[in-house]
Amino acid sequence: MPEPNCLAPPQPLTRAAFTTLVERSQGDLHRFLYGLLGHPEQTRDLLQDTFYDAWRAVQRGAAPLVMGGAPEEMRRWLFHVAHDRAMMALRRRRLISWVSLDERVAVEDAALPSRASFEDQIAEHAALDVALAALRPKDVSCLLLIVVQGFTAAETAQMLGDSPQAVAKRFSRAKRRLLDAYRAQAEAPQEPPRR
Amino acid sequence: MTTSGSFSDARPGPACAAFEPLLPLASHGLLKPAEERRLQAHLADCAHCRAELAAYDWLEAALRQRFEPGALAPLQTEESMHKITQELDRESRAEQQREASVTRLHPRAGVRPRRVVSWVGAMAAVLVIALLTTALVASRLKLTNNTSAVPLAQLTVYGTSDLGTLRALRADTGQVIWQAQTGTTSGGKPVVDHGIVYVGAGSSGQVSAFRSSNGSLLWSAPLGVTDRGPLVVGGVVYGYSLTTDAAGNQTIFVKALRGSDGTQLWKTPVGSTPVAPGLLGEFVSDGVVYVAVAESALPTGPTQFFLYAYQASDGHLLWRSQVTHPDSGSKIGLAVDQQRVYVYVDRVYAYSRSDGSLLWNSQGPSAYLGADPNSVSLQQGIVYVAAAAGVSAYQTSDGHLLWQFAEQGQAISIANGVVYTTAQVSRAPGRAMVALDGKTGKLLWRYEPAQPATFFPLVVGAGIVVGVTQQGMVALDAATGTPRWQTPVGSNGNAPVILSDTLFVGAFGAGPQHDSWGYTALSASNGKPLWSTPITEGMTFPSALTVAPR
Repeated sequence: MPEPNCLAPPQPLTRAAFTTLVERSQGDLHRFLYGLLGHPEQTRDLLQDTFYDAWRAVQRGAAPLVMGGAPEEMRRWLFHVAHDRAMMALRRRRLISWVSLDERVAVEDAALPSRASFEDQIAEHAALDVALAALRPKDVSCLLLIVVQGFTAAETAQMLGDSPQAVAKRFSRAKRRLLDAYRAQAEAPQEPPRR
Repeated sequence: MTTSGSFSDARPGPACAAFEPLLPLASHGLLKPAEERRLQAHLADCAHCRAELAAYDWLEAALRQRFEPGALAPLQTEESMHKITQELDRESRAEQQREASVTRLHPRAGVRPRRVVSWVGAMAAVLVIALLTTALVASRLKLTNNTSAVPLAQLTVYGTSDLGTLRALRADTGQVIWQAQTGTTSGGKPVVDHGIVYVGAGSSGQVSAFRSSNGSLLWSAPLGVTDRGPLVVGGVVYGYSLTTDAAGNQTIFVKALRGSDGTQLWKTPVGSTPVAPGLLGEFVSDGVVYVAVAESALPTGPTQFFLYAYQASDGHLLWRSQVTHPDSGSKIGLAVDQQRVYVYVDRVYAYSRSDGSLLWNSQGPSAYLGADPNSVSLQQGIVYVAAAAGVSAYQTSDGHLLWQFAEQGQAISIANGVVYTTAQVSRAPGRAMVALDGKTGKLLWRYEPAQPATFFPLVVGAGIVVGVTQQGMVALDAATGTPRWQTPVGSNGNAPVILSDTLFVGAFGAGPQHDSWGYTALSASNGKPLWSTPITEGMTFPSALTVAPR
């Protein structure tokens, strides 16, 4: 017989706690996936898939998605799953031609704040998008996780399934390639980027 | 490129190529100290590289701006959870259909009552689990000796992954014999005793027991254990539970379960109530369970620190002794020999095993920063204490300080009267490996790698001392400190197990390209992999391994 009120395994996240997790992490994951995929529709699909995977993990009682689980571990878990989902999607994309219903820049422009350097910023974003598209997907993932999301090399290694040394090398290479690609792009006529 | 992304016209010099890979890492603390120094010296004289560095900074700022909050159209939570909602609706409809088609004779039969654990209780449990330390040095050394000469074909390697999969692998081929789900995550190091494999995770408070021959689950029970595995001695599993009464007072119970079927043999409360207990350490030796507990009178009373001794057969309290340490908020080191119980907090204390009386206490290594569970070791009448500040050796009979090695570095391993530990290089602890004479503290040899690396932990066996680094493992001749081999296998990993002239390790570096997490066996003589078994599920961080005879 179980003892009353005795030490028990951690309880799975409640629906309310899970919803809070979604609310807090969806923005970062959305931008991360979009940076990897470059297609708004597919990004939203994979974001839903990521949270669906998380919900299934919650139902299994899998750590760290348990009551009392460390928020930073939950965040890493979500980014890890999102990364894996995106890599699978990009592999499939090599085989299946993807046609987005939206143009990336057109959709995202609407969300950009109005600024004096608006045109410059659009051109800059477009050049960055194209430069990112020239990199290997895992390199992009590494850049976004470290530079944009602020993860350490060790945390990124954990999420990408690499060693910290491999991630440092990948990060160095990705930044150099991105800079080279950006320089090439910045000097080229601007076109809407496609991946 | 706009604004600060403009590039300098300065031309690269002949030395610049060597710094190209370092520049992107400069602002992320990813350079080794020597690289950092070289780069800074180069930057002082090179306008081209300064401009490149500025370009990288600009690039990062542009990336952050590109993906800053608000850069994309806002999301609705309902949209993010759309697939989940769909699935829940589908399950709900299916459930309704099932219920409609079944005549229920017993209302909700089979539905187990939901266990309610208070938030505070759960947090306290996590804290207790985090504080729990187990010192099984003696029994594990015994295991090592028993299996040191066993042919690999007669050994089995047990390991868990962080998704809770327990695997048994052939020690000679790495072939998976069986695998089982432990039902817990962050699976700790398995423990094998009397044909049973025990797995417990500190974060789950659940111990599961599997038959070692085929992986069938024997039992599973809530039982707090250390993250290094359950404490199992002589077919009995020791652990603890935490209870909270109606007034919110919490009590730790030490428990003993029969290993074969999980039946509770005894259970006894530790400490007086009301207390906010923290279980700091436990040890089982010669039929006695020693438990160190920090007790605080609620709600803000002073913390006191006690050592308890219980009869292992029935949980009967033999004695209780107060430790006069003012700060109990950390782990302790605990070790036991035939006469005494040794406790390291900030000082080293020795208590009589027979009645708990304090025999002596001695100043510990300076700059006390918290004790590691393995910080106290015993060998040949000497008690060794390792701390961040260095290593100290005391005579067990009277606490007389024999010697001190006051170089920072916490790793320690003792074999054949020699203390292997790490030392600092240029204020960086752990960058050198040293061997000290156990009786005198005399330096026998010192090894500093050409490329800076931090050695942690250290393991001795088969005539070598192995240091685990971020880059992999380095093996030195234990007698001379001469490098024998190094390998990328095992980077940032667990301490390897050395048995039958073979190293077994669960870490990064598995697979033919050394690019996977998994389990690897290497020859102790040359470091060449004998086999490698990557693990692939989820975020796969293998536990430390246990190797035992079939």
